Amino acid sequence: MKYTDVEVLLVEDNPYEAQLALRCLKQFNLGSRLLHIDDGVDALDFIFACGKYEGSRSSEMLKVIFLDLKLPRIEGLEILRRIKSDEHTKTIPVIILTSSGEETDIRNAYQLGANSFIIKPVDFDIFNQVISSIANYWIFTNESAGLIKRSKK
Amino acid sequence: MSSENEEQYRLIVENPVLGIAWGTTDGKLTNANNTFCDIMESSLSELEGKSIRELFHPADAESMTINFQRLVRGEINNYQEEKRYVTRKGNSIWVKVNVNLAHHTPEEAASVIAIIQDISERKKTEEMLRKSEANLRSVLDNSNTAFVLLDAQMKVITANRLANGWSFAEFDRYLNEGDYFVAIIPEHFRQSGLTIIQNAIMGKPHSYEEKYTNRKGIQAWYHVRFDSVKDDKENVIGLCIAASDTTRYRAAQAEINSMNDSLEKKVKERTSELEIANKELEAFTYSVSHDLMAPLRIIDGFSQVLLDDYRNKLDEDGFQTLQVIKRNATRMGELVNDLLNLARLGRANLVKRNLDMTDLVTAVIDEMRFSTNKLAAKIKLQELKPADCDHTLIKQVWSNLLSNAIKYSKNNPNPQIEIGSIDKSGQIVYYIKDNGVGFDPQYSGKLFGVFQRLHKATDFPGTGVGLAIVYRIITRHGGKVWADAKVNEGAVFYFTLP
Repeated sequence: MKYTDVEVLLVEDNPYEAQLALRCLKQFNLGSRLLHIDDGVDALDFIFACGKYEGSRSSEMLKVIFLDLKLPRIEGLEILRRIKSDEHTKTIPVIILTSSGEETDIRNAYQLGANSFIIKPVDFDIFNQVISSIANYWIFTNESAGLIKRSKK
Repeated sequence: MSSENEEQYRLIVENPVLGIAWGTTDGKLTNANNTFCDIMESSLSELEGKSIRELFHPADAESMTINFQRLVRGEINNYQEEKRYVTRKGNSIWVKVNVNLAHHTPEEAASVIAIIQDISERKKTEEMLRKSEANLRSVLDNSNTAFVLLDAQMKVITANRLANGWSFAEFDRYLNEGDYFVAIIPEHFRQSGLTIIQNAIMGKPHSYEEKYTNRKGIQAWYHVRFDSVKDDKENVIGLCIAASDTTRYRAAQAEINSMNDSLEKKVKERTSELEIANKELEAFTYSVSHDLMAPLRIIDGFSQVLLDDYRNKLDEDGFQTLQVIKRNATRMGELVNDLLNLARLGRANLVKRNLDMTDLVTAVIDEMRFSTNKLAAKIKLQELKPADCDHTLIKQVWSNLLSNAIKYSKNNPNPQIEIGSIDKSGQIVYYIKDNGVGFDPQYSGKLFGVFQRLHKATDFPGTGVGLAIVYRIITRHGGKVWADAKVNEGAVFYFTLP
């Protein structure tokens, strides 16, 4: 499987929540440019092109990562820390998408370099609006560092 | 008698200071000079022939008689005594009496001559001095500080009772006037004692606290102080050594210290217990916010999926049912969120600083105007007194109170809200008043409880946590919050901050 065209990565362990988020993103017709991973270790493997994603140059096109905080095996904040402390991945925008408005989580996330911190609203209409506007901004409005890197090659 | 002698005699007799009286050997007064008569407040005729004994104060008459008889018997030629006379007017006066036996010619009978000096003033002064010395002595002896007073030669002038009782066990005698103080200091203290004494005399007072065994063999702690004693011209004329027993004070101090220690230990224990409880609560709220919210979101989300994707397969009933599910999922989300907020407020650190309350409330009102589409209420904000409080938390209080006032006055065609502060005997009371639906005051006790509501959710939506949060914040500041209302006559909420 090729992963070089993945632009949007959703890291979410709850299949139903993932299904709802994917439903919100469906309107953008991302197809294979959208990938959902439900496990922290797998997410790291993908981002750093190791493990089962070895040699896939998977993260080169990433425009945005939606990252849940509570994940099996490796927590969201740890994933964030690794992304932001690696030269090759630290420019990838990371949007924390979580249920918790816990102050320490918010503070820690920003200190680790999160680009945005979103508390998922219960009301699906509002959730839909939030996800759509974020996706719209990061995928279509914002100029990502990854694209500059690639165009220079 | 020559005229010159006569003149001298007259001068002596008429002197204004010494009273002179003559009498017979059987004790009858025969003559007296004017001064004597003045002393006795009598005339000569009243005194003539009177028994000399009767002139004396009854308490002195007996001893006077003994001396007089010895004189008359020729055992002595004269005697002197200080006795009290009683004057004609009944006044008791002190006199110094000098009595001589006058020898005359053999044919003339012997007579006595007495020279009397009024010494009442001197006696009075002596008495005052004696009393004042006795008072001073009693103060010194009853003091719970031991005093030893030394002169410039370091000889003991005086020592009070306590000083003698406490003095070193090695003292083999009491401190007596004239003792060289240094000589009676035990050998092993002598050198250091001498240095201290010399320094004190040079004007450097010295004090120390030390454990000694006293004369009674009791070990005790003493605070000892050495001070020089100076005269009017600042010359050192001696040294005062003062010692007080600090054993009980030290014991009390030690007890306080140990109580403080155990208190501190208890506080530490409690603190760590609290910290554990807090951590557990934190873990609990964290898990609540994550694990409880996700299913709610999924219920709401999938209800929406049904509404979107299967709209044409649902009849009106099905459609309404899904709406109910959705509404309730959203509402539960709100409840959980409010509860989490309440729990967080309980843990948040208070950061108090002096706040301009008028600015703060103005900001709250502005935010409320921004977030509320059509804010019908007229808000009248008066100048508010500043307060020391946590900015974020008190802002939350005003925000909750104001949104309540807006919510409950929205059905009034002319909604009005008034915010102000009053000084109630030095205590600032903030208030917010609306002309909304109010509430029945008999339920005001329920007002600040969690999930307590006095109105139907269909009339006024809400979770019933807003005022609980207000209560929590004000109480955590050490203030008070209460409300006054009547049904359909609006409500006033008051709070104080210490």
